[in-house]
Parts: sequence; C-alpha cells; structure tokens
Amino acid sequence: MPSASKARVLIVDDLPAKHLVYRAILDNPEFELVSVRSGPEALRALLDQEFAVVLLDVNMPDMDGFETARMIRARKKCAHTPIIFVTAHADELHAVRGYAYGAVDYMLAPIVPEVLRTKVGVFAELYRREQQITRQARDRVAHAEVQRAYLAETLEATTDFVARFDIEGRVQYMNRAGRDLLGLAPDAAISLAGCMPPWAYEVLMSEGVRAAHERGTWSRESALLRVDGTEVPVSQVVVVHRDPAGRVEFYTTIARDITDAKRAAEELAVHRRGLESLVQQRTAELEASNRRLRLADRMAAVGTLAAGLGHDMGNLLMPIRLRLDVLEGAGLPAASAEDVAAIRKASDYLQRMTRGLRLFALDPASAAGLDESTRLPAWWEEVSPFLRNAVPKGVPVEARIDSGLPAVAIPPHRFTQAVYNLVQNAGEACRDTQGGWVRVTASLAPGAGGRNILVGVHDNGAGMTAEVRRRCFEPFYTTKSRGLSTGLGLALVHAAVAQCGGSVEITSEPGRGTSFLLTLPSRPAGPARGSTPPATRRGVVQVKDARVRAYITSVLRNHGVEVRAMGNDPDLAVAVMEGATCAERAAEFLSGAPGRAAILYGVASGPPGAVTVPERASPAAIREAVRTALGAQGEQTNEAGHPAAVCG
Amino acid sequence: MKQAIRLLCVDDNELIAQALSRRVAREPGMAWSGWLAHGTELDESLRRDPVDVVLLDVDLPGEDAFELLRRTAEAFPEVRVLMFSGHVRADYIDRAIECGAWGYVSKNDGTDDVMKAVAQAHAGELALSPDARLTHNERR
Repeated sequence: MPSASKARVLIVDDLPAKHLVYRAILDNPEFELVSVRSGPEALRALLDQEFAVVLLDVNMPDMDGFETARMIRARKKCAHTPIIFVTAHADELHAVRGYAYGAVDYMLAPIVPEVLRTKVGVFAELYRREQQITRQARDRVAHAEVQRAYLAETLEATTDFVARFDIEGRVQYMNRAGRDLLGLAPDAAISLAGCMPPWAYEVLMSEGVRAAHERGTWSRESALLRVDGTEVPVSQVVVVHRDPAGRVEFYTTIARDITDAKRAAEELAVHRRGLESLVQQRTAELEASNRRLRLADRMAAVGTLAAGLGHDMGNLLMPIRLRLDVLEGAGLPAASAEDVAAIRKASDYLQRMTRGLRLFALDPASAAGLDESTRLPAWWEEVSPFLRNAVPKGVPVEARIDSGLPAVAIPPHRFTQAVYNLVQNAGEACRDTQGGWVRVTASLAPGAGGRNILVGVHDNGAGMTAEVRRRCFEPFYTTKSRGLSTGLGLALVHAAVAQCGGSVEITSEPGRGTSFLLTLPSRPAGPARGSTPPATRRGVVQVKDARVRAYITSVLRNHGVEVRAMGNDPDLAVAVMEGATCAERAAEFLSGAPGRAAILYGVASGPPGAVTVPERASPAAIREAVRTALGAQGEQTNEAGHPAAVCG
Repeated sequence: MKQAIRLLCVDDNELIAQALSRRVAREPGMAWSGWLAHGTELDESLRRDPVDVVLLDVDLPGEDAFELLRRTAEAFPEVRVLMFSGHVRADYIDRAIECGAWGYVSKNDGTDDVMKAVAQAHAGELALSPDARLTHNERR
C-alpha cells in the first residue's frame, strides 16, 4: 500500500513554476507528490486521499491559503492534517502564527530546499509513525476483542456459577450457569444478597471479602439461594480485582454446586457410622459369645464333676448325717454337743452343695424333657406356695403374670429351679430391708416378633455391685458365707436358661434392689405343661392296686387335686375308677356336674369325656392320662368326635 | 400299739447301712431288720425274715437294681420297696415306679426325709424325698 510505504504530500499553488520547484526539491521515493492549483482542488484531493502534509501557498486567487486551511480544518477527516504555509511576505507570518498551532508550520519564500526537505521529512515521518501506532492500536483492540469474546464465551459455557460484583455487593455480571443454578430469568436483575442465604452472604461479605483483600482470593463451602427459596450447597471462591493503582475495582466469585458431593459424603458418613456401629455390635456379640462360651465351659466341667461327685457325696454324707442324728439324740455334754453342731453345720453345707452340683449333671432324661414347656399362670399357681417358703418370713412374694402368654419353652422343673433360686436370692437380699418385697413378673418380651417371654424376678433389697453383677453366674462365686451359700444357684439359673436358648440380664444397684430378667423362647402350639386347673378341686382314686392308687394319687396331687380316700361327694371334680362297671359309673359321674374329669384304669374304652389308661400303664402314660383328663375338662373332643384318650 | 415298721436296707455301702441302723434304732415306730450288701441275698432274706419296707440302692455293683426290684415286687407284693440312691434322675424314678417301687429316696436329702419316706410308703402313699420329688414333678 502506497500510504504505508510512501508519505503523500499535497502541494497547493496557483503557479505551475512553483510546482516544478517543489517537485525538484522533494524528488524522493519516500514521498508521493500530488499537485493542485487552487484551494477547492486541494479540498477535493483531501476528500479522496489522506496526506502526511499539505504545502499551502498563502497568496492564491479566489480562495487564499488561509481560507483553504480553515476549510480543511473544518473537515473532521483532515482536521489534524499538518499544513505548511508558504509565503513571500514576512508580514503575513503574524497571521499564520495567530491562525493555529499544532500541526501547522510556515516557510518564507524563496524556499530553501534543505529546509523544505527537512520539514516535509519530519511531517512525513510523524505521519508514518502515527499510522503505525494507529495500526498497532487497532490490532490490539481487535486482539483484546477476541480475548474478551473468548472469555465471555468461556464464562457462559462453564457449568460453574460465575458472577462479578462490586464492593457494595451489586452484581455486575452473572453467567448463564449462575442464572440457571438460581433459577433466574436471563434478564432478571439480581443482587448478591438476593442470591445467597443471609448467613452465607454475611460470611462472604465479612470474612470472604476481607480475606480476598489480604490474600487475593478466598474460598470455602457456602450456599446459594435459589429463586424458589431452596439452598444450594456450593464450594465458593472469591477473587479480588484491582486497577493498576491497587484500588479494588470489583470481585469475581465462582461457585460450584456440591449438592451431589455433599449427599454422597453424607451417605458415606451414614454408611460409615452404620459400619462402625455394626462392628461395635459384632464385637460386643463376640465378647458376649466368648463370655458365654467360657461360662458354658465351666458349667460343662462342673456338670461332669457333679455327676460323679453328687453320687459319692450322697453316699458319704448320708451316713455322717445319720450318725449325727444319733449323736444329737444321745444327750451329749455341752462341749460335745457344740462339736456335733459344728459338724452338722458343715454337713448341711455339703449336702446343699451336693444337691446343687447334681443339678449341673447333664441328665439325659432332663434333656429328653427339653421339648416340654411351661404355661405360666398354671405354673405359678402350682409353685407359688413353694416359692413363698424360699424367702424370709414377712417378705411378700407377689406375681404379675400377663394373661394369654404362650407357653415358655423350658421344662417346668428347670424353670422352677431357676425361679426358685432367683426368688431365694431376692428374699435374702431383702432380709435387712424395711418393707422388702419380691416380685415375679412375666410378659411378652418386646421385639423378636413376640416369640420371647420376659420373666423377671425383682426385689427392692440390697442390690449388687458391678463386680458381683459381672461374676454372679460363675459357679462357686458367692457373696454369702460358705455356710449359707454354695455359689451354685445363679450358675444353675444361667445353665437352665441357656439350655433352652434363653438369656439372662441383670439390672441392679447397691441399695436399690435387683432385677433378673430372663428372656425365654415361647412354644406357641402343642400341649404345654403346667395346664393345671385350680387347686381346689377334689378327687377320688378308686383303684384296688395300692401302689397304682398311690401313684395316681401322687400325680393328681401334683396337679393340685385334693385326693380323698373314698367318697361320692357332689363337689368331686375328678374320679379315677376301674372294674367292669366303671364305664357306666364314669358316665353317671361325668353327667352329675359340669367340669368333671374321669379316668378309667385298666379298661380299653369309656364314655365320651372320660380318659382311659390300660392296666400296668407306665408312669408316663398315667401322667399323660391325668394331664389329658384335667386339661380336657370343659374342652371339646378331638376332630374324630372321640374323647381324648391315652392308652399306655 | 401299732406294729413297728420293719426296715431292711440293701446297699453295698456299709457306712450307710450301719449308720442307718443306728438312726432307725432311735426312730419311734421303726425297727431295723438288717442290711444286705448284695441284692442276690434279698429273696432268701425276705423269705426267711419278712419286712415291711426295703430301701434298695440303685447302684449295686454288678447288679441290675431295677430287675431286682421287679422280681421282688412280684414275689413279695406286701413288701414296699423304696429305691435309695445318690443318683436322682427323672428316668430312674419313672423306671423304679414302673418296676414296682413305692418311691424314690435321694441320699442327698435329709435323714428325716428318709425316715418320712419309709413311713409314707408303709402308710400306702407314694414316697418321693424332696430331691426326688423336684426331679419327678417336672415330668408329671
């Protein structure tokens, strides 16, 4: 381009000879000379082209140099184009100087070639530099524009929230992701306070802005506030922007939605807490299991020991005690009687221990009875007198047994042994307590689908220390004197409960009483033991064989039946008969009053409602017959329409 | 005056037998009829010298006490045999009653309980000493 390489020079003079002179002087490849002969021509040329400098003759006909210059200046395009006035009259110079400063110079004719070349050269150089600077500036502006567009595009494209705000918190810009995150319409106005929860805004404007001032940036977890009022957890960065003088111009904040990350972290935390608690639980279970195993080991060892020892001790103690009986009755002198009393005390202790030990022995018969269960209300009626005798006089033993409980899956003898021991301990704990009491409770255990029964033995007596609570189930551990306790009672309770798959818990505090809570599995269906009817019923056993009569009597008494020698009283509820006419007599007896039970011994069949048991039936068959007869009272017959009957 | 209850003991444990003889001697209404160390002598002894009650050890060495009980109960229905043992098991008690015993007495019970059981059996009641009753009741 010529303008880039050559400086264009406009020569304005009405005299052609002058043009020749100028051209001769300015003949240089750096200049492109354009000659015109008047002011209007000059204006036309300036309209078409850009010039580095104008050489303007002052004295021209029609439009002189000053007028021409005025019109050139009036044009915006060439308002700053340098003009060199040329004049032969020195008196005109004053007017030139007064005309304008800046890009204006003057020369007096005659022209000194060197001076003209130098002046034009200076203006041409100035022009070229200006062109170059303009070009560079344009390039820079264009580059900045590209950068700005690129940045804007980036900001709009990023998925992070980006906003610029001033020191007052006024939002100057917010990108699309920011508006989307907040749920803002594209043209909606927003303030920073409006798009953050108050607490987060407070933190940002105090802590955040201050920190950004000190360190340039600040970041932390914060929150944005959606238009719908929900908080969005974000990770936020604030950057401070300063002008070259170091004054804060504005701030940029970038925020990233961390809802998912936070939720994942929370889920992870929940999961971890769950795992931790599971580990704790499993560890506790393992420890408990280990404790049970250790205890079970000890119990098994004691059981093995007990099986033999119980027998041998009986054989040794029985003669000792028999001899003591004799000695005590012999009227010994006081000193000797004292000795005998001491031996008696020792032997009594040994006897108790031996009996306790014997109960540890793994009795196959007892194991066979493990499928038996205990029906609590009936059981309580049966054993309560026995249990009341286990506590010191004046200590009441009361029961709170929920009705309608399923049978407990523990054989009655085991259960009685366990509860007896607990009641006895409870009674002992109350011995020195004013207003002491013992309470036996039974209810459905919470949880486990209602399959477990919670049996409690409670007292308000002396209570136990943590040490005693921890050790009390160990065989031979006792807090009482050896003369009173064998230290086997609670070990037995534990063994009995564990054998049926139950567990024992203790809550106790010194001075505030103790509760033993047995969690025992229930047995929902099937014949349960302990279905004893009320103990006030009376019965007769009319069986000739004295031993059979004695046994049936014994079994009936165990069921709470008061057995009379003979009789035909109207209040009889149970009759055991035999002989050829017993079927008729039984029918008559059963129809005589409601709720009666009849057992026919030694016959094959009987009237409806009667239970038969063959001659020479086993004790088990007799017990079963009694159980059936007493349990069947008032109940319906079985599905075949026949009375429930047991035939050895 | 009522006839004293004649009591015979079959037990290989001499200590028990001799102590029992001393105890029975001072028990009103009871008379000691003697002691046998072996069950094999029982039949002949009862034929020669009738008694009311026999205390029969369950653990006679080399002998089946239950079989001896069965034979004795059949041969001498008027004699009331009580099983006498340090082993108290529900199945033993059942078996004893099935074989003709009038009761079961635990050697781990008190001496008075033994005397009482003898009197009960003689009076026509089934006699279970407390320990035996506890064990038996559970299976009633």
